[in-house]
Amino acid sequence: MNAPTAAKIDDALQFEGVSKVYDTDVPGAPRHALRDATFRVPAGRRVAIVGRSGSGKSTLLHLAAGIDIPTGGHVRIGGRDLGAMSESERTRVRRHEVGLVFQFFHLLPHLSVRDNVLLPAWIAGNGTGANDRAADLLARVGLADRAGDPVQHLSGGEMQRVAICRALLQKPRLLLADEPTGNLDDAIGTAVMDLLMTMAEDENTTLVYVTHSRDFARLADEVWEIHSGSIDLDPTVV
Amino acid sequence: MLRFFGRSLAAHVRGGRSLFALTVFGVALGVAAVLAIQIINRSSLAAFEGSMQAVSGEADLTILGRTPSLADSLLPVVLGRPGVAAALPLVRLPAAVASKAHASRANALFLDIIGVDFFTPVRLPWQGAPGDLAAALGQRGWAAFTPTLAQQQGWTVGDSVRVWVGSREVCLVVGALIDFQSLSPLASSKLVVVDIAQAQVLLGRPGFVNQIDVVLAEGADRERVAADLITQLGAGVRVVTPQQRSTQTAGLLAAFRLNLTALSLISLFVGLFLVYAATQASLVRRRAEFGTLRSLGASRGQVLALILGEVSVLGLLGVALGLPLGYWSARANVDVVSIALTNLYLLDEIAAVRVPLSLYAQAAAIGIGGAVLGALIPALDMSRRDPRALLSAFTMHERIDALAPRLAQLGIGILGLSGLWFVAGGQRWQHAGFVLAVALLAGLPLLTPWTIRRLTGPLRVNGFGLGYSLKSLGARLQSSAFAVAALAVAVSMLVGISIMVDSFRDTLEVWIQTTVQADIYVSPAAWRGPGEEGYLDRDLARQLAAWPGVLAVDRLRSFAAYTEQDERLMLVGVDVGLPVASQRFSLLLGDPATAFQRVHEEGFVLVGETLARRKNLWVGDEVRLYTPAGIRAFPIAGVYYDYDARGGGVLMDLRTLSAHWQDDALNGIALYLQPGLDADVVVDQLRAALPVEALDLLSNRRLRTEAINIFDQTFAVTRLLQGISLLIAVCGVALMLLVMAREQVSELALYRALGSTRRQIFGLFVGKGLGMGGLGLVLGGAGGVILALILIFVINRAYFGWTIQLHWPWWSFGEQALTILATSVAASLYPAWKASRTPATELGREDS
Repeated sequence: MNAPTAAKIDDALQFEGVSKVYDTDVPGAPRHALRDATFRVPAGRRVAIVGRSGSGKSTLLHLAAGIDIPTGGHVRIGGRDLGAMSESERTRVRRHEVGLVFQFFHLLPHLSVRDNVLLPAWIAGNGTGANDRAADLLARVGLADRAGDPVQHLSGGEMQRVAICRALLQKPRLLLADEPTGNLDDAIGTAVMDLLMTMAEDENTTLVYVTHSRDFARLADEVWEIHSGSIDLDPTVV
Repeated sequence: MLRFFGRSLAAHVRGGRSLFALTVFGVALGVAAVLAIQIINRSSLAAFEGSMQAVSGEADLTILGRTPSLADSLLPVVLGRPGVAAALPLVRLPAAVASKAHASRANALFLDIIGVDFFTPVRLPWQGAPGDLAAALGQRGWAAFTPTLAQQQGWTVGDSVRVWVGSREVCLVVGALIDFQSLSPLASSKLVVVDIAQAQVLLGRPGFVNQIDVVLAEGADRERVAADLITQLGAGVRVVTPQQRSTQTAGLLAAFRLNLTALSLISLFVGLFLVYAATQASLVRRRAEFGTLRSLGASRGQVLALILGEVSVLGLLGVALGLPLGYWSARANVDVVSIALTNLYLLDEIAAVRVPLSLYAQAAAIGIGGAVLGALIPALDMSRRDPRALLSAFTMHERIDALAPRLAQLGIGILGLSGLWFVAGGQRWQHAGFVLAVALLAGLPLLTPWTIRRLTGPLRVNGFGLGYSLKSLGARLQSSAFAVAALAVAVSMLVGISIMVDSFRDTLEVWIQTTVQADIYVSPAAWRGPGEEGYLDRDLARQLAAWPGVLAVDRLRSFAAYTEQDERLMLVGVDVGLPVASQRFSLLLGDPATAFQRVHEEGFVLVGETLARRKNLWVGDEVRLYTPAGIRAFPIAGVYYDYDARGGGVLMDLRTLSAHWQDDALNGIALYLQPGLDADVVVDQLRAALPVEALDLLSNRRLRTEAINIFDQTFAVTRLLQGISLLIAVCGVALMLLVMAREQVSELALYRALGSTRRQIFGLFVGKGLGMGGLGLVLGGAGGVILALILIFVINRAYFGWTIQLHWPWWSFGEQALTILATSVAASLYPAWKASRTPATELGREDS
């Protein structure tokens, strides 16, 4: 699984020598957020990435989602190189093939629970057709009766469940979660992680998540560690 | 702290150049509107005062007739009174330059000819060598012109200038140049001086003058001399000081000036919204900065001073931009206002625009003070918070959302209370209409947040389109409510004034169609200019009456007369006995058949609606007027609709007028043609045979068109103010969308992360702009209708006394609605572009 030499169509995600360097205010002193990362995640796998703050975890997820593009190397989703795509092509990949879950939920306060879940479908232009799917997802996370509520009325754990539904609405090939329990207490965090794993499995979606918690990391098929922008794919770190 | 202030301000500006520039521009436009109108207002009065200063500069008192002219036989009486050092008789007559270059109505050049007695100790500012009095007295047509006019027209001493005085052609000779503007910089350049005897001959009224200026002996008491003169000269004259003449003119212009000032203040009011909203947005963004300062020991006062200091700099920049803009706007529009003054009040046109420094200082104070005022509430709110609250995240949107119902209640309360006050007795106060208008413009913004929430709340969104944009406006009340409120105020003004102007125009058209019944109208060309003199030659009148195809001739005489209370009004004499007379004047009160019979046969009069309302004179009352024989009472047979801006008129039969005023002059003639004759063909025949350059020969159709053109010119300046307000409001839309683009970085990044394209984000913001325009239109439209009712039925009645029939200009509404929506969309393009550039990597940013 380590250091693949060629992209495979059945790989949900593949990094090949990926680097990300940011310019800083100090001339000649760029910041290396990610260094020569190479890995592949076959479809259906669940991978946890652990690391300290500033180690490059979020950069890795942004690159994986096509939100950002690498300064070196190749990021492939389903065998297609994101770096070779136009901005709008990457947007379409994100719209249809990637689901995102964030630490701070990023639910929109002016939308109801149902509407927050439906947002990706609205953006994709198939709002009407997604109503049943949204209702199904909400029912599966136990929020069917809260569908019409404003999201401000939800607890943190409930908000993250809504965010998971939103991420899965478009049946993405790849689900990326950035510290999904970072803003929750342990008990609720555990429940949310269990739900995330279950939902990913039920939806047959590849899951890559970033976490601080070694316990939550152990729930994955594989655990990688990232430090100072370098990724260590040795599973013994857990 | 000062060093911090400088650095903080610089960083703040660098961080939001577009926001800062838009806010400065909004303040600048508000300042410009106020300054431009103040300059125009001041210039309108200064034009009259300037010419008065130039003509009667040395006079301590002026003797004016309460009848069209004064007998010059009064002069020895005046000179013989104690305390009088000199008495300077004066004849004023309007003239139109007769040349091909000035033949068209658009290019007409009017002169104000002043006849002075060169034997009196009059001091005139001759340019070059002193005037040769022998030539002035002996040479026929000798006249002194101003150097400015001579230069403009390319005239030099010795040139002949043909002019029309009434319907007579007169040849003037440029005998000397007199620089009146050295005496009074604002004096009209079109003043022309001739010998008084020549002027009397030109006027066709030898032995009469228009005024006598009195110079008092040293130490003489002005009040006492004035009282003595009134006693000696009788009730037919008025003795006034220059200040009294200025005050009377200011009174005449008061409503005109007040209306313009009110409109300009609305522009400033809209500008203040921008400052408020921009300050609010800026402060929310920088709350952590203030929290840190407070944690480090800065006092509330220091924080407040810091914020207000920044806003003052913003106001200062707005003023720096607004002052030249205001001056330029005034210069660009002075001609339009000048035309309105001449049309409405027969006053001198504005010759020059001079702005005292105090006016700039006043405008600067209004700009900076307004900016500080606009920022005061958010600044106080921010300075009062404790450091912990400042350092923790809070959303202003939730606050305004919670406040929306209470603000709406306050708005309804203001509107309701002002309405109750008006009904309960406030309506008796002349300015009550402005109280209602201010209440409306204050209440409307307070209703805005609640209205937006009510309108956008129930929207069922099923996609990422316009509905989503509108829904998100309701969710961002803090930003959207201010932009929509500012737009609503501007739209109210636009719609309200449009309804009023269109209703007025429509009413006037109907009135003109009813009253303009003759086929051809003839008047002296010079009658169009300032002043009231301008006579038609009697022979010409007879010639016209005998013209083939002319069935009947209606003669008109009009001049200023005075009531017993010394109030000026226009007296109009017409041939009431003509069969068509009853059609020429639509009666508001009185039975037409009886009324016109009484006016024709029994010496009754009709009074104009404006005078009737102002003086509470109705059918059965009598109006008491000064005649050469003293005060005479004229019973009122009816009240007719009129649209006079100078206080209204009294209409009587020409025979009654001639009998009481011993005046047989004519100012106009209307010709009724035999059925089947084409008025335009007859006008062409008359033009070929008569001295047409001296005359305004207009067919019925042309006269109606001309009247409407004059109306349109009169209201041209209001269009400018409407435009400025709308421009400021549109800046507000752009500013608030920029604020949203900045505040919603996290939300926009989320959309991008969820697969939204840049084009979709762009569309989302354009939708917001369109939504703001639409909401502003809904609120402003409702406000505008109410404002129109206030303008038509309260303000207009109180100040002018006109009856205006309400008319809904649907076509104009449609055009304005499209313009507002289009400009709102245009205003959203740049913010939309900025928002669409938000990268998904900004997702980590905290949303405010």
